[in-house]
Amino acid sequence: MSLSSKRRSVMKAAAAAAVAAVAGPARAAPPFFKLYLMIPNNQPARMIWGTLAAQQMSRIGIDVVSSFVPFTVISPRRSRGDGKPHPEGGWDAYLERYYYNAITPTPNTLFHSRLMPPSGQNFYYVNDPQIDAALDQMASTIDPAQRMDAYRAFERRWYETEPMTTLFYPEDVIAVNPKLKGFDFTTFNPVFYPNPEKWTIEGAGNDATAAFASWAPPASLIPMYTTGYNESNIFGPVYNRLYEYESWQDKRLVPALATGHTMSADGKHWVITLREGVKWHSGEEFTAEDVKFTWDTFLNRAYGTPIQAATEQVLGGPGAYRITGKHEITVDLPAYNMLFLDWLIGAQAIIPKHAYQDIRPEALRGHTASNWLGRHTVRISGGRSYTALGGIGTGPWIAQGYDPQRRAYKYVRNENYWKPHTGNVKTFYIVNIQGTDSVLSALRAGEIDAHDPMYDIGPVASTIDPSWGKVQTFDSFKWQHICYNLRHPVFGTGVDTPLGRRDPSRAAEAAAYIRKAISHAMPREQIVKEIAGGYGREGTVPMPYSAPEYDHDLLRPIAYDLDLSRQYMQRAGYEY
Amino acid sequence: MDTPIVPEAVAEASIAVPLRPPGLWRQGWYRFRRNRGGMLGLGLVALVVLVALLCPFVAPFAPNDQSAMLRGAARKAPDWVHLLGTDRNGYDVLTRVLYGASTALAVGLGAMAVASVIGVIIGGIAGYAGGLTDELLMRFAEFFMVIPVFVVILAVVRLFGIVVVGTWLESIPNLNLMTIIVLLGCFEWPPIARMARAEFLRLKHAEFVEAAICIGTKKRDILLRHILPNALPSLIVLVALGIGGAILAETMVSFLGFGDPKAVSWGQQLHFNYEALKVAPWAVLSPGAAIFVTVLGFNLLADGLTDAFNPRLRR
Repeated sequence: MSLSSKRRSVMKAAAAAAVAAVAGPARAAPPFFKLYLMIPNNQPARMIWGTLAAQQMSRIGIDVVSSFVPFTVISPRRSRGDGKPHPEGGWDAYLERYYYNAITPTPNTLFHSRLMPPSGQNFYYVNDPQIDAALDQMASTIDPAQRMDAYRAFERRWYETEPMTTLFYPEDVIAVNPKLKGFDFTTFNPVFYPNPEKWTIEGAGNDATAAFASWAPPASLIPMYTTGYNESNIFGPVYNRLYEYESWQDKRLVPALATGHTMSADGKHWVITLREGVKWHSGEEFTAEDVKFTWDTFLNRAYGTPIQAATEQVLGGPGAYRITGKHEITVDLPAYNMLFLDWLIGAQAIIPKHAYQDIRPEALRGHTASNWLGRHTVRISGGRSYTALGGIGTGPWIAQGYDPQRRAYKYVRNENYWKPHTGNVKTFYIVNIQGTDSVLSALRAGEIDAHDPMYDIGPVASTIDPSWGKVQTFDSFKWQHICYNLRHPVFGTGVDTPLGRRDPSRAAEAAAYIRKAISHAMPREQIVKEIAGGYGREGTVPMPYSAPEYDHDLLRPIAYDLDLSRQYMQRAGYEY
Repeated sequence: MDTPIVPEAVAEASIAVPLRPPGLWRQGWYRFRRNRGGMLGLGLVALVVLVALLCPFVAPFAPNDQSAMLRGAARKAPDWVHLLGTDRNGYDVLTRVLYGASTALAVGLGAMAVASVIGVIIGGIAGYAGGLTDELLMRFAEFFMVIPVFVVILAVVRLFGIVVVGTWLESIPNLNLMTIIVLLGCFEWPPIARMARAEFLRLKHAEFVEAAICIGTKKRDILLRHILPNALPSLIVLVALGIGGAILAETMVSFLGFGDPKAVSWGQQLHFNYEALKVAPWAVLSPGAAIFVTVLGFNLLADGLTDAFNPRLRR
């Protein structure tokens, strides 16, 4: 054999080897269908269980195309409201940590078929008559026993069909400055924020400065525009609600800007009395006009708030409420709705009419009141004006704008707050720090005193020395899930499954089989133990594990069983 | 009668075919052998290449095997089953480190192959043609040098990830990694182009080139058979240096969480495990050491090649 032909043979073999290496070994069977899984890239632990979840799905025959993306990629895809799958600009599935916008579980704000995006928050297109019926009963009954029955019905149906795969209920693990006293709750949007008015830094005298770390920069600091931590951590200390929660431990609603209310026997007629003598940071008096203005903006589609649909569901329209006194507002609901007290009154901040009414609805998101970059002047009574460095509220802290050098939002104590500050902190910062390691370094260096629970420090909690960090744990009232676009033709509606094609009347059933197959392929126990550092519990349905509404008898942990998974896939018509 | 010392036939042959002086490459190799750093670099690179070739046979587990997670052995310290322990994902660290070598080499060699082709073509044309062509091509190269490569890679990888959805491109294995390789190549060519230009500029006036022109050699042959082979030694030094740089660049992209989720990359290992540095240091130190050894190897090799092919630079 000549030298050149030898060389050619070697090159051929090398090329063949390269092609084989790139193409990989031949597969035994083609996958059943393709699923695009978006894994948010802001939480390494979630990226790990997301990768594991993708691999587990591939073990039951699903071709998973996973990608690590920022949530800013996911958000517009899910908010389009047309239910398109991923290749058409929508989405198939993604991972998320979620919670209700009130301490009382309010699944009717997320999963009712009336609340589809863009004006509602049912991003997943849950559209199940049985779930709707349970949610309607939950929202409309005054009888606590009947409401509990509705919760049970919701949980039972969810447990049967699993519109999402609830992976686990994380426990919030937070490390704080050992000298910090009064930090006795986790943050929970939109009702629990870092409440530095209750903080005392030991040994810092009466003029202490404190700092709190929050992961990502906010998108908008007008409360009605967001349901995220990144924002509520920052705007929370500035605003008040009509009712607020007394403490994380008892989670009991108590009056705040309201002093009380009366409710008719049928739950439709409400008279809310407001606190007198409360001043906005501008010095203007808080009145019923502000409450009316707040609810008007919620309902006005021009403002584009994602809570518009839920507010409309509760109030019906602007005609439902009227001012009946300078400090009194009367509401006639179209029907009793639990969301009125637990969510609208108890969780939504009141915004100032005198300061925000002159801002055009479409300009509010980008206004200084929303981004806290710069200053804006508002007119107040007596022909005077007030220059604000951020949002204007009635809360315990006055916004001092954003300090780009420090990447921090600054606040000073509101000395005219209607409730006394019990701590010694007079100046407060919220610092944007990204990364678990970074936040712990900041705590160790004394740059922050506490942080929000997004950092997931659980797996590294053992490395925190008591001399610089005190580890505190809280029930989180959240869950981590894989959510699905329920309009997807395979695992959403099921029309493209073998069973759905054979018998269209069983398409939805087939889709549920696939979701259950995925659910049983998830090793929840290992995810909690190995990835979440043991801080959490296995998930079943979107209901806080420690809430009284959670049915511990019904909701047994979902077994990790790949054989069972494959059986469910076979029920949907797929053959191995 | 005197007996001749050298047989006649041999003597004639030695007169007819004088001993050829060692060529450029052989001279380089003689000098390279004497460079300890260079030889160490060669050894390290050979080790990485060997690992990349043999990893399917020597790795104790499959690269995507997360079974350790399922049996509660994630972040496990090194033992006899997992010689370098397991990481947060439940992967066997040794297996991932071994498989990471082929990814690193693919990135380094792939990126520099792309960069070399572009650089040599553009630099060669600029150096040989001269004049306005040279000016234009060199300004073009400088334009590429000021573009922030990382920002472009992050943006293109993100955009590309959106654009290819639902197209045939999606079926290409490790598309993200290939995109990174091509992008690195597309931004690493200017130094090669500048060196190629300088070499072509120098060599086009060399006597042997002028001789070739005189005997009517075609321009293509002059470029490819006379100038390019003589310019290669200088270019190889740059390529060897660039390989280490490209490996580091891919590691950084992956460390930031923008790498290819399906590729086994040392950067991705660091990304997933750096926060557990104090809890499971083996999961971070092992890929870190692999990156160190590989990049050091290529840098020492490049250093040795510089000494070997451009000895005057050292004097």
